[in-house]
Amino acid sequence: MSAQRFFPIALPARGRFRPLAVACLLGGILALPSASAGQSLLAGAGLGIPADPLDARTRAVGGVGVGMAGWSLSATDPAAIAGLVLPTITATMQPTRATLTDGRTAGHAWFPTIGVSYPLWRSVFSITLASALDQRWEVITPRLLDVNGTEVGAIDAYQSSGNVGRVQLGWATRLRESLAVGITVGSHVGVLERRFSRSLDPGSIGEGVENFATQGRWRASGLLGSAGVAWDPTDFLRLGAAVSWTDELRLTPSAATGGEAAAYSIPMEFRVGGSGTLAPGLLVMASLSYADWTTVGEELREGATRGAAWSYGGGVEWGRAAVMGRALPIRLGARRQELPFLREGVEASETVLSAGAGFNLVEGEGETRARIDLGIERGTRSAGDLSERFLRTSVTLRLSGG
Amino acid sequence: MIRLRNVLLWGVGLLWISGCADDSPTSNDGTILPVDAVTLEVRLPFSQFATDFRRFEGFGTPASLPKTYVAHDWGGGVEARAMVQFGALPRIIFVRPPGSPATVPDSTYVPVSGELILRFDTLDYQGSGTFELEAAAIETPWHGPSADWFLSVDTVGATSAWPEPGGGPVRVLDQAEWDPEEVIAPEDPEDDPIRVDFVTLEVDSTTVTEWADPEFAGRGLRISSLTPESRLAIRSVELNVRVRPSVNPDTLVSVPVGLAQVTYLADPTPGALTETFVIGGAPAHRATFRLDLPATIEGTPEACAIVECPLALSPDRLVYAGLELRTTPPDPIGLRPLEPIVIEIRPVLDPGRLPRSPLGFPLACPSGQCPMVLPSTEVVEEDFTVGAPARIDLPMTRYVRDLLRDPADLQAEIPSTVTLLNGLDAATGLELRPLQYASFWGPGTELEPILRLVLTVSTGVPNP
Repeated sequence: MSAQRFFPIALPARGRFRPLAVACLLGGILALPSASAGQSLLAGAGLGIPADPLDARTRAVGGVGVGMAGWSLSATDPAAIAGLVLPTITATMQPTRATLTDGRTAGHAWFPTIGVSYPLWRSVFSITLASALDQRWEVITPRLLDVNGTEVGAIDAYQSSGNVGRVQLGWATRLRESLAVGITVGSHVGVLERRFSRSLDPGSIGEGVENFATQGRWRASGLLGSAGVAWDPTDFLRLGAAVSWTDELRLTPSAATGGEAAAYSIPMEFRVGGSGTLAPGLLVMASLSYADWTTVGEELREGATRGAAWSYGGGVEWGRAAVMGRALPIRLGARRQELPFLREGVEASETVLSAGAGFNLVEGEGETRARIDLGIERGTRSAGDLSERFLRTSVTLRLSGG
Repeated sequence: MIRLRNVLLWGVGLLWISGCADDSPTSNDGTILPVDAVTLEVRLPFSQFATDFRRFEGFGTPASLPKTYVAHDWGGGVEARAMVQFGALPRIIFVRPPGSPATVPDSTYVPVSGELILRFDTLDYQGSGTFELEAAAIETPWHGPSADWFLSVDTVGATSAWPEPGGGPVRVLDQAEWDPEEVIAPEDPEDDPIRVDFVTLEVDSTTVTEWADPEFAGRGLRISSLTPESRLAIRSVELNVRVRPSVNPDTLVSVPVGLAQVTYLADPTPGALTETFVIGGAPAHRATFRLDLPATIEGTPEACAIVECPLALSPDRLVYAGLELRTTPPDPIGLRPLEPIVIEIRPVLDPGRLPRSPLGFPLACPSGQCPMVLPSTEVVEEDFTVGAPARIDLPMTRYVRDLLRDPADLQAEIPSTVTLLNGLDAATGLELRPLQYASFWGPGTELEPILRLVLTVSTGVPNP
């Protein structure tokens, strides 16, 4: 049976096998069963679950988003764009499928980061949209109410939707061949909605009983900035560091919602990492991040956060693998993230094992014009008796040209 | 490059498809709900939610009904007499003279006698055994659409009473018996027996001559039941007048006569009620009142623990509002419902024109089904003892919600006066329910109408 029959759509009419078609199709197929990201009941704790805007390569090697070898448009590493010589568009799509404690599943897909960079005057400028906090979760629970001495069946539903994101303008430059710096300024964006409804049993109350519903809508804002550095002390070592700062995360209620705006002191976040070549084609990477959420905990309520929250992880990238003459780097990694917000007073954390691959779709003039990366994470989140398993797939598509 | 674009499009398209699933993580653990909510029920007595209660009667006339009724001493003394007015005899009839193959017109024929045929509704009769019917000629001028037991004419500017209440005096024409159980053997033995649903009565020459005179306003037929504890529905009344043609005096010709109007007179009617009100009847009865809702209501301790009390009565908190009525048997009990009486509550669009104000759409018919007072609602035994009052709920949540809204938020003013009435009959399109009333306890009584409100109050969704 010929390859043409296997891939009737992707293959050219002459029947010549095209690795580009296979890679792209496989990328799509691999993404099909996935669906993962911040899909978690832990999104109901505090301000939500952190949704790091990491690309597929970073997730595949267990990184936290800084110190990766090479140049890329990263929402967490302002200096990482300094070496991009072509205008670049990067988008990461992230389907997630989570299995909750009681066996139910949840899933959705989103774009944790989308960005554009443009080299100009020995600098590179960028604009990125990135995720920050995920607040998608809901509770649906049947109840038996005592309404003036009569038992009435009811269903309570609470739905929280929306995300806090960031829009950032970035600038980066290479001060020397081995040293690059970058900064970003931006703002929190996003809309959060919360809705509570109660539906009562018409058989107990009467025909025509209406649902009770109350809801609120808040718009996120607040200045933020970050700075980063990437240093290549040797040809086989990259070190990076970044710090992000937020004036405050301000949640302003809509006119219909009413009430006062709330402001939260999102802490400074420090990220450091590095990657080094152990052997030809073998890259090792490690990174960690730190943020102290104590102040936010005091603003929310006492004991709402764990205080200092660490994330750390690492992995390897084997770059000698190839398919049809094109490099197909294979990646493995692991990562642990301490979630900042407590769930009912219990600390929560996330642990993942990851794998992935990348493929240059189009190469020309020594530059990669189109590239796709895939990262698959299999992980767990736990907080006391709550335990979730999830499969998170990240697919990053990068297009360059000029 | 064209092929590469195709490949990319397919790949990206597949990725997009993979993202179509969108199921939020859902817990069924009610303990993690960040919202406190309390549902409570409040029952407002009539004086706390309504004013200006009024009873109205006189909507429609029994003359509009497709059937007429007779009753005698039914259910504690209900009397009803069918009143029929016939059309004039034709001025010309066509008769075939002896030995002639063709008919000739005859305008000088002479009425000799008549035959009445009364057809009964075999599914709508009350009583047992054989029913004795009496046909009598009315001797007093009367007006079908407005006549009642006491008045022969009750129109604007003209009112006159019957010399004898109930359509009298009359001249008795004939009597007959109807046995609902009587059957006729069918021609085909395999067919079911045919039930006899009619009786015939004779009319004398004087009477048919009177009825033939279109100027004689008193002409008409009164049909009565002479059997105690009877109530019969008459589907049709037919009159065939036997005439002697002038062109062939040796023979009699039967000439059918059309009906001018059919109605019935009944006694007693619910009359002037003080503690109760009724819906239904013919002419129909209604009740109206104005909703005057309180701004606040008392809360329960559970509700007051999470929100401010007294509770503001607001549309967002209201999840159910229903008018609760308690039935009481009508007086006399023979006027109780024998068929479902649909109870509608409708807004009065122009209260200043009551009782003739136009009405809005029914409020209390969720899923198109209005509440009904069923015959079974009134537990009436054979000896007319009555069971416990039944409860009729008229849900009107959305209407009450609209009443509670700020008028500035509404596109049109919401009328606050409502009327309770019998829903239109599906077959006749009429509000009328002959000899049947749904009777309810009125304001100020122990079982007065109640406005039942169910509210849910909550702390509101928390700030993220």
